[in-house]
Amino acid sequence: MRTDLLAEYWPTIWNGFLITVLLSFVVLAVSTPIAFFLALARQSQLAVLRWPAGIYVNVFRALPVLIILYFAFYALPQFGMSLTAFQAATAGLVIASSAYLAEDIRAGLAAVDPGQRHAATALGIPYWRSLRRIYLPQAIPIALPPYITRAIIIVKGTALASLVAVNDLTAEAVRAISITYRPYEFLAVAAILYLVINALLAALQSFTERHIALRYGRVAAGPAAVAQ
Amino acid sequence: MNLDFGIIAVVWPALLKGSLVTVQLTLAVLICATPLAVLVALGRDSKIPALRLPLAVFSAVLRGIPPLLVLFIVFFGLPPAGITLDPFPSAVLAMTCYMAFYFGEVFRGGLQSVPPDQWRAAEALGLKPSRTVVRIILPQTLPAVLPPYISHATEVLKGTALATAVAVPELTSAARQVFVVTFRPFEVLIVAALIYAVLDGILLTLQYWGERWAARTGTSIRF
Amino acid sequence: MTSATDPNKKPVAASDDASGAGPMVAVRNLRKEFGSLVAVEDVSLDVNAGEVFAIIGASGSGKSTILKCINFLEPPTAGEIWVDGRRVGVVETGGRLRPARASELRRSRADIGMVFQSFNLFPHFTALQNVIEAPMAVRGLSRSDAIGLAKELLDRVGLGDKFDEHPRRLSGGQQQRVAIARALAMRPKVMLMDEVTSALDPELVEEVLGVMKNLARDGMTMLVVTHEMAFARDVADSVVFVDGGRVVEQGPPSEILRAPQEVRTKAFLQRILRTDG
Repeated sequence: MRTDLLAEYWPTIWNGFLITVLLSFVVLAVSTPIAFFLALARQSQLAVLRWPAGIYVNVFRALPVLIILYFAFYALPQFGMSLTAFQAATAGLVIASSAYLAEDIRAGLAAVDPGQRHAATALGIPYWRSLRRIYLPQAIPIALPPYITRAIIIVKGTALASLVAVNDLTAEAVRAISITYRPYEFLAVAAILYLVINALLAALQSFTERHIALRYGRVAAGPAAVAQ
Repeated sequence: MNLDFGIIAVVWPALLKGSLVTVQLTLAVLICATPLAVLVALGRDSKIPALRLPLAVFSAVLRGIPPLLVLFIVFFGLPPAGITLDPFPSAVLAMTCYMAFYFGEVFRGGLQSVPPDQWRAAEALGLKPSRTVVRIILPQTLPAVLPPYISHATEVLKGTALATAVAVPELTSAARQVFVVTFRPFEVLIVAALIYAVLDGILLTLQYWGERWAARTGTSIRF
Repeated sequence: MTSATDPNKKPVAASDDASGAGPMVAVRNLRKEFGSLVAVEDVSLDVNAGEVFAIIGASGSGKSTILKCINFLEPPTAGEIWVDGRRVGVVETGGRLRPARASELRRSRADIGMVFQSFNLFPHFTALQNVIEAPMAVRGLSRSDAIGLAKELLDRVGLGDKFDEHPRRLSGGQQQRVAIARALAMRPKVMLMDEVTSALDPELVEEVLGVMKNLARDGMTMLVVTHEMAFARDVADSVVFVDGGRVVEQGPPSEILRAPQEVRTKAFLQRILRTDG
C-alpha cells in the first residue's frame, strides 16, 4: 500500500468524486421531471402524446448508454452544437435516464387503483388537481423504492462520462493508475467512494420503505395488494 | 450540416465485424455467467454461513460500483498479479463476475418460488442434491426466471459497449474508430444504434415468447 | 448425538440375524426439539413386518414429526431408529458410532417410502416421469426397466390410463395415488403415510384409502398418520394415540378405538367422531 501516492493524488481523486456527485445530482434532478411527464404522456388518451413518449422510452432503453453519450459528445458538433464534455455527458445521461425512470414511474402510476381516477372524474375534480391530490399521494409510495434502485444505477452509469473526456471519479482513478502503475490503491479508493454514495441511497431506500410501510400500510406493498 | 448516409457503403464491413464481436461477447458472458449465477443463488440461501456471508458481501460490493470500474479492476488489477489476459477474455471475465450476481438474484427469486416440499419429496426418495437441483428444482423455476433472465440478457448486450474502454473491437468501438476517421459520427452512430436495436429486438422477441410460455405454464405449475 | 454415548445401544428388538425375527421398524426413546419446543418426547414403537400401524392424535401433537424422524427428514434430537435391523442415520465403524453421511442416509431413505399430505408430485413431470425418476437415479434401473415397473405400479393404483398426464391435469386423489406409486417404485421395506387424505375433497378420500387397503392386504408394512378413524379401525393392526409429543396409549384398534383407557384418548375420539358425523 503506497499511502504517499494516495495522498499525492487525493486532491484530483476528490475532485473527480465531486464531479461524479455533481453529475449524478444534475442528471437525476433534470431526468426526474422529464420522466414524470413522459410517464403521464404514456398514459394519456391522446395519441399525439402517447406515441412520441412511447417511442422515446423504448428507443433510448434499447441502446447502450455509451452510444447515447457518443451522440451527444461526437455527433452534436456535426450540427453546430458544441457542448463541453460535462454538458454532453449530462445531456446523454439525462436522455437515457429519463427513459428508464419513466418506466419506473409509469409502473407506480399504473399500480394505483383505476377506480380512484374514475371516482375523481365522477366527482368533477379537474385533471391536474386529481393528479396532485388523489393520484400522486398513492403512486409516490409505490414508485419510490424502484426510483431509488434506478437512481443507484444512474449514479453507477455516470462512470461512462469518463469515456467522453469528463474528469469524474473513474477518469481520475484511471489517470492516476496509468501514471503510477499502482492499480490496487486507486481502484479500491474509487470503489469505496462509489459504495459510499450508493450506500447512502440504499439507506434512504430502506428508510423510505419503512416509513411508507408504517404510514401507508398495505398500499406500499405494491401492485398486488392494491389490485385486490 | 447535410447528412451523408452514402458513407455507410464504405464503413459497413467494419461495423459488421464489430457487431459479430458484440454478439460473441454477449454469448460468452451469458454462457459463463448463467451456471455461475445458479451457484451464487444456491450459495446465497445456503445454510452454510461460510458460503452465504462472503457471497452477500461480494454481491453488495459488485452492485454498488459501476460496471465500468469492474472492467478496469480486471483490466488493470490482474497483470500486476501475474495474470495477463487479452482484452476480450478480460471483458468476459469482468462482465461475468458482475452479471453472475445480477442473474443470481433472478435465480434466487426463482428458487424461492419453488415450494420447499419439493426438496423434501426428492430427499425422501433418496435423490442426490445435485440431481434434485438439476432435474426437480431448476425446471420448476423456469416460468418465474425466464422473463427477468432475458431482460437481464439485454442488459448484457447493451453492457458490452463498455468493453470499448478496454479496447475490445466490438460494435461501439468499431463505430468510434470509423467516425473518427470519416468525421461522420451521426451517420455511423445511427447505423450502430440500429444494429443494437435489431439485436435487442431478437432478445425481446425471445422474452415475448418466454412470457407467453410462462403465463401458460406458470399459473398451473403449482398443484 | 446422545445415543452415541448410550450404553444400551444394541437393538432392543431388531436382532442382527434379522430375517423377520425382530420388528421391521423400531423407534427407541425418540426425542425431537425445535429450538426450545419439544415436539416429540420419549416415543418408542415397534412395527412388525406386514403390519399396519396407525398413529392418531390432534394436529400439532407431534405425530407427523415422528414419521419425519423415521426417515431423517427431521433428524431426531435423541433416540434410535431401526428399520429392518439396521440403524438409520447412525453408522457403526470399528465399534464407534458416527452420524451417517448424506450418501448413507440416501441409501436408508431408499428403503423407506414416504407419501405426503400435499402429494408433492414434481409438477413438470408426467405421472410416469414422476414414478421412474428415483428408481433410475437411486436404484440404477435402466429407463426401460423403470418404465415397465412404473406402468405396473400405476396400473396397480388404478391409473393405467394416466401415464402421460401432468399432475395439474389430475384430481387430488389421482395425484396422491401417483405419489403412492412413486414411493412404491423404490421397492421400500416400509411406507410412511403422512395424513395422505387430509388435503383431499371428501369424495376423493375413498379411492386413496382403497389403494392403501390393497397395499395392506399385500403385506406392506405401513406407518400411517391419519384422521380416518374408520380406516384405522378396519385396516390397522395397531393404533397409537399421541398427545403433546408423547405416546398416551397403544394397542389393537379394538381396544384403543372402542374402549380407550386414558381420559385424553377418550376426549380426542369423542371430538373427532362428532366432527366426522
